[in-house]
Amino acid sequence: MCMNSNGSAIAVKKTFTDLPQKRLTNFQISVNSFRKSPTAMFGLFLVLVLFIVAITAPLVTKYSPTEMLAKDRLQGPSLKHPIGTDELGRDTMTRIIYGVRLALRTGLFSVGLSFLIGVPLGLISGFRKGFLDDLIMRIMDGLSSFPPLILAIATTAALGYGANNALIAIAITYIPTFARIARGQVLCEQEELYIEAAKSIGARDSRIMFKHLLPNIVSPLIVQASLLISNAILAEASLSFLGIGAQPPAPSWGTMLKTSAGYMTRNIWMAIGPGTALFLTVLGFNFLGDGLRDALDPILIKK
Amino acid sequence: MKQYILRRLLSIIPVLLLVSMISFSLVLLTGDPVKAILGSETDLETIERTRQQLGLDQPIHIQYLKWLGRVLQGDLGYSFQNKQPVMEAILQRFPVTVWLNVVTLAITIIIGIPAGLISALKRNSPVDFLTSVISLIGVTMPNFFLAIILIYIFSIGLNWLPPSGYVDPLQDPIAGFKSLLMPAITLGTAEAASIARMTRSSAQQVLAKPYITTAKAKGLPQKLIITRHLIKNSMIPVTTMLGMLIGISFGGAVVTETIFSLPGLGRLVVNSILARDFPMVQGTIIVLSLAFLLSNLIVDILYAYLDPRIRYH
Repeated sequence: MCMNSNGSAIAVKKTFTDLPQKRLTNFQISVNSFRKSPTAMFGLFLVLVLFIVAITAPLVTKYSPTEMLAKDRLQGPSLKHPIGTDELGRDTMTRIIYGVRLALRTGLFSVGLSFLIGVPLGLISGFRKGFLDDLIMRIMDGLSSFPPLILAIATTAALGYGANNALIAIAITYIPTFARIARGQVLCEQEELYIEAAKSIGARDSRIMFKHLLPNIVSPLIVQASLLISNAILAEASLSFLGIGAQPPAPSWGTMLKTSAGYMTRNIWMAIGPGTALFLTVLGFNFLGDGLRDALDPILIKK
Repeated sequence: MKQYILRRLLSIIPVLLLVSMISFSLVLLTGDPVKAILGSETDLETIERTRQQLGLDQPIHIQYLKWLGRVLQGDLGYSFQNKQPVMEAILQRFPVTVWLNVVTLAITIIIGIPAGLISALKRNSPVDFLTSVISLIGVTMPNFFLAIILIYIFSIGLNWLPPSGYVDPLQDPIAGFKSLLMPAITLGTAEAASIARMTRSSAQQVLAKPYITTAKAKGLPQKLIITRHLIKNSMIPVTTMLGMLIGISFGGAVVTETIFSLPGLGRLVVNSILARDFPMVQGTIIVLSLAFLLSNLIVDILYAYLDPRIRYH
């Protein structure tokens, strides 16, 4: 058995001395396990805060991220500017808050895009086998032999600089991961009886793959996706740091850190602000991902 | 065993070919290198002439095959930007990246492994908790942020270490080491944290094994248990992880090399990609990918060697 089947209840042995025990679905067990872990809940909390900040940004801060107040340049923290201003007089706190939007967008969409491309590739590769399988896997091997950041840099340079292309480039670096996991799961799950049953009544391949196989192998894929989100956010920051991701004046934590490196002696808060924000974001998603992994992994074994 | 090694070595070749094809097409997509070299103000004639000189007027597959032929003879081509043989540029930069990785590895091993072992021996103690917290911070901290903090404290604040630049350790060991220390800490923190966690969980598993209990029951002193049994048996997954990390850090030192202005391979790749320097990009990517693949291969072989159970599978 490769994966736990969805939604099935756990059988409980009953004797006449046992009180009837409540039957829990796998989903409920996962949720309970998640809730019990303090780090996972903390991660969830951080991520929720990030989402709220991203959505309500204009309500949280009265400045615009590109608004330059030349006479207030390079200030430290004050009542007017909680984290100070940068070299062009923009409020650092505001830029950090608007930077959340870019970080979340990149993290979620790049992983999402990668998922949408990689998983079907893995499904087809594992299900059909043969030449198609070899071809797809060779290409995936080729892609994953690149040091990931270099691949992202080369792709962004090919597509043109900018946050959107950086997103696509990062997505491309994760495709092999999803394809491999999906393929591995399919190879294992294919042997199950229900797949044989579906085949024998003449179900189309695409139906078998997407209606039967996919829901049963999706757990490790979701875990992997959540672990990759923090990775993607870091990658976007690195690309922006090197100057090929988000372009000024867009507020990206990576570009903010890049400029702050030149002003270290004059105003270190320009670095502390975005750096801490980046750190907390990565921390939040890491905790969330770890919590998901612990909650979704062999549920039955834990019992 | 030998057959396994041979097979794996041979399987690297098609992957390398694929890598070179992918990087070739990617770089071609980045735009016209001729314009990048000559600037935008030259006339059509000069552009055409340069294009012919560099062999760029021929169809892509011809260009690729010609390049491939030259590589097999050991010639990686000439850089568009520097008029320097690619091989020469790579060999110049190679030692820098190697030194950086060596110091990083040293830091990773010296800090990471003992931390993990101590954590495992004193489970749930304050030491364990502290190590867990620190390694968590180490893994999550973005490395360019860490670099900025380090520079701020040690260069600007205390003036102990140079904020950038590279000195060859072979020529001036002390200055060389100083120039590499902060970059190595930047790279090594995340690695040391990962190794510490891995060592901890591996050591925990070993400590739970029956032979440890037997050793204790025989009255073997704690110190001997550690040196004779614990260390060797915990090291198997740790070694493989180390190998993986080395491979990754070879290509992943790009950001660190940029911040600290180290003339290494990572920066070479990035700069040549941005300058659309085809031959250099091709050459460096092949070298880096080869290093990556070889380190994976060494990891697999090491794993089979260290754990005899794998060999006789």
